[in-house]
Amino acid sequence: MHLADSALPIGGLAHSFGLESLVAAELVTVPELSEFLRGFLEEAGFLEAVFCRAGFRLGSNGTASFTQNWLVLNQRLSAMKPSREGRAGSGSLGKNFLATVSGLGDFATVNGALRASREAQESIHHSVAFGLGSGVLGLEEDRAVLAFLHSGAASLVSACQRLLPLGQNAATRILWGVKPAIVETMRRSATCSVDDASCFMPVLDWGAMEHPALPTRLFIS
Amino acid sequence: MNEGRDCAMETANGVEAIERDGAAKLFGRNRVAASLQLDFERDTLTGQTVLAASHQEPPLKVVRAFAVEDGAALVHLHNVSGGLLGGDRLELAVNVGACARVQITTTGATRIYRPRAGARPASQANEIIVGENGLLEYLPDAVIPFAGARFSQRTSIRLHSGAGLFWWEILAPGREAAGELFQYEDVEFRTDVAAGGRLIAAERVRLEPKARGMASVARLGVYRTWATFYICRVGVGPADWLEIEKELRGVLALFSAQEDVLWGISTLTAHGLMVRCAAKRGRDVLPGLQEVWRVAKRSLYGQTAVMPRKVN
Repeated sequence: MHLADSALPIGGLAHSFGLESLVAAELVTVPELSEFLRGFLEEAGFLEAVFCRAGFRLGSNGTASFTQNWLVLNQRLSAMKPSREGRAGSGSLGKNFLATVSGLGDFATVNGALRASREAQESIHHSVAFGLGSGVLGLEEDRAVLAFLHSGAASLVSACQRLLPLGQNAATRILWGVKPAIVETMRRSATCSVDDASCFMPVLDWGAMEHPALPTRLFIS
Repeated sequence: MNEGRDCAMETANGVEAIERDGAAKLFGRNRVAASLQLDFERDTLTGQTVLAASHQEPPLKVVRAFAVEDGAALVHLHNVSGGLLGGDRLELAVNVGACARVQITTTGATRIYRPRAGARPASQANEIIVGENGLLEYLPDAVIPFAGARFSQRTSIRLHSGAGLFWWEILAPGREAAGELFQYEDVEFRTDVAAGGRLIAAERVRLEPKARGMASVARLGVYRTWATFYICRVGVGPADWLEIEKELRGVLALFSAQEDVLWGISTLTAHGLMVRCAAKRGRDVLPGLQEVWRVAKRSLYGQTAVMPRKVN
C-alpha cells in the first residue's frame, strides 16, 4: 500500500488524464461521478491492470529476453494511448515510480529496466512500472493489481475534489462504492493477454486530447 | 408516438429479415468465407495507379478501379450480400505498391445482421500494406450493427518508408431512424498500425452494451456515433506533426461549436495523428472527417483531396 499511496512522491496528484476537460465541458458532474469511475475502471482500469500484470510477471520471472520484452511492453502501451498528454503523464509517473523503487534497495531488474528505457528513449508507463516493481519486491500479483487500481481511482477522486464541489465525506463514499468494480476489474484482468486488452473511452480520449487547449488548467494532463 | 416508433422498428426488422434471408438464399448457405485481394501498382509511364491484380470471392467484390485526376486509383468495395451475416468470415488484403496512390471507399454502410441462434460472430480481417512512398486513403461509410448483431474486425496496417495513410472508421449505434440504439450483442475492433516495424497505434475496442452501458460518460455518455481517423506519413518529424495538429485543431473547433459533437486530435507516438469523434447524430461525423482529410492532405502532400465520387 505504501507504493500505491497518493503521497508517494511521483507526481500522481498532478494529473487528471483528461478529466479536467470533461469537468470544464460539464460532461462530468458530482452526481455522475460514481458511474464515471465504474466505467473508467471497466475500461482504462482493465487495460492498465492487464499491463500491470505483464510488468509484474516480467519482474518476478526474470528471463534472458527481459530488456526486449520490457521495451516492447511499454511501446505497446504507448501505441494504445491515443493522447500525447496521456502518454506523457503515464510515462512521467512510471519513470518516477521506478526511480523511487530503485532507491529502496539494490534491484538489478529495476535498474536494468530504467537503463534500457533511457537508452532506447522509450516511455516507462506507470502500470507496467508498478507491476514490475511489485514483482521484484516479491508482492502477490492480485494484491499488486488491486493496489494499483485503487490508487488510480483514488487519484481521480482526489482530482475531482479540486475540480468539483465534492467534500471529503462524499469523496470517501464514492471511492468506497467503487471497490466492487476494482475487485471485478482485477479478476477480469487475470486471464487477459496484452494483445486482447481493450479500452473504449472516446469521451475521455477527447478530454485528454483537448486538455492542452484548455485556457486554464489545474493539472498537467 | 410510441406506436409510431414501434411500427418503424417492426418495419425495419421485417426489412432486415428479408435482406438476411435473401442473402442466405443467394449464397445457398448460412456462412460465407470469402476473401478479396487487391494489388495496386503505379504505372511508371503514365504515373497513374492501376489495379494490377485482384482475387475476388463473393460476396466481396470490386467492379473496377477508376482513375482519379491526381493519379490515384479509386475502388468501391461491394458486399453483394448486402451485409455481414452471422458466421461470415471475410478477408480483405490490400497491397499498395511503391509510389502508388489508392482510394478505397464503400458503396454504402456496412450492415451487420443479427446472427441465427448458435452462429459465430461475423468477422472481417483487413491486411493492409502500403509500400514505399505509397498512399492509401480508406474512406468507408459507417458500420451499422443491427439489433442482436455480433461482429469482430481485425485490421493490420503496415506502412513502409514514406508511406501515407488516411484511414477512418465510423461506428453507428444501430439503425437510429428506427430508434434502435446499442441493441447489438457485441462489436470488436482490433487495429494495429505499424511504421517501419514499430507499432505506432494499437486499438482494442470491445463493446457489449448490455453488459457495459454505452451511456456511461466514461464511454460515450450522451453521444451515439463514434469515429476514429488515422492520418500518417512515415518520415514526417514530430515538430511538423505538432504544427499539423495545431492547424487541424483549428479546423475541428469549427465543427465542435455545437454541443452535439466532440472532436479531439493528438499526435501518435510517431509518424502520425489520430482524430477522435463522438457525435449525437451520425450525419454530423462525415463533414468533419472530410474537412480534416482535405486540410491534412494539403499540409502533408500539398494536394487537394479528391472526394470519392459517391461521397460528393
